[in-house]
Amino acid sequence: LRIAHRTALEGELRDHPDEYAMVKLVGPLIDAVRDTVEQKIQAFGSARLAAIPSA
Amino acid sequence: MGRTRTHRFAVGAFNAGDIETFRAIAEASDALSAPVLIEASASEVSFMGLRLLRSLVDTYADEFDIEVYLNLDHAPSIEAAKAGIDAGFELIHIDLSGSDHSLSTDDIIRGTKEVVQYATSTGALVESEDHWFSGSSTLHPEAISTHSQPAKTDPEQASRFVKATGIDTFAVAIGNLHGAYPTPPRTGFRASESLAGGALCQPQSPWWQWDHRDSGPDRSVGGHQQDQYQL
Repeated sequence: LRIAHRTALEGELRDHPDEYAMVKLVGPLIDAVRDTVEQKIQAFGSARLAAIPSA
Repeated sequence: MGRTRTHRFAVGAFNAGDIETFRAIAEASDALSAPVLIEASASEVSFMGLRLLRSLVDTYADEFDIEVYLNLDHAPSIEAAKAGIDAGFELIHIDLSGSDHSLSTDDIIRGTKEVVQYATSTGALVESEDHWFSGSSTLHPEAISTHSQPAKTDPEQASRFVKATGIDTFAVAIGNLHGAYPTPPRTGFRASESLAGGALCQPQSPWWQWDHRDSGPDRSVGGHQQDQYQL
């Protein structure tokens, strides 16, 4: 996760040297980390196994 | 934990020390309907704070309607573990052997037991081990050397440790390492199966059966509703 986060951050900073509002750069960071988490979830076999809240 | 054995799956524990990572884990859990643990290391706790971690997990659990629990990752001291319990973390990893390699097994057992005892106040599950994990969570350009090869868990020794401490889960060493290496470590899942087959840990509380919204642990900081625990 940390590698995905850092790599995406480096890419965003390189591609947008004039942007200083960090909130406009975080989208691809979240996407990269989410993709990595999803790969791990698939490897662990835990997809579709969340307990459904009864409420 | 019973669910993971019945359905043969593992629940990932994902470290989060910033809001982007929190959001990414919540989105992945939501997209795949997967239960997840979010965990914070000592340095992540030091930056984020226990209360903020707890409230972020609660907020994302509500907003995304996901099954998510909070783990204190490698708590380096009894005090740190107790603070995590007080903050309402569902899982506490007390890693005394990792923070001080010179501690004797007796010292580790004594300290771990103290945390297990304290955790009964909230029903938090306690994870520990009597050996420390090698590696550090960074990129390692070097190949895995004999220096970084972790000791493998000895099933007999582990069983004694579990019985002596009363921990709920055991942090097993089967060749796993912290950090990223040019080639992945060789893990012995067969060894892990034989450890699990020995029924090392029999958690007292049906933690995985908690409905995380209604009968789970008290998530309010300060623990004002502790009498509502159904453990």
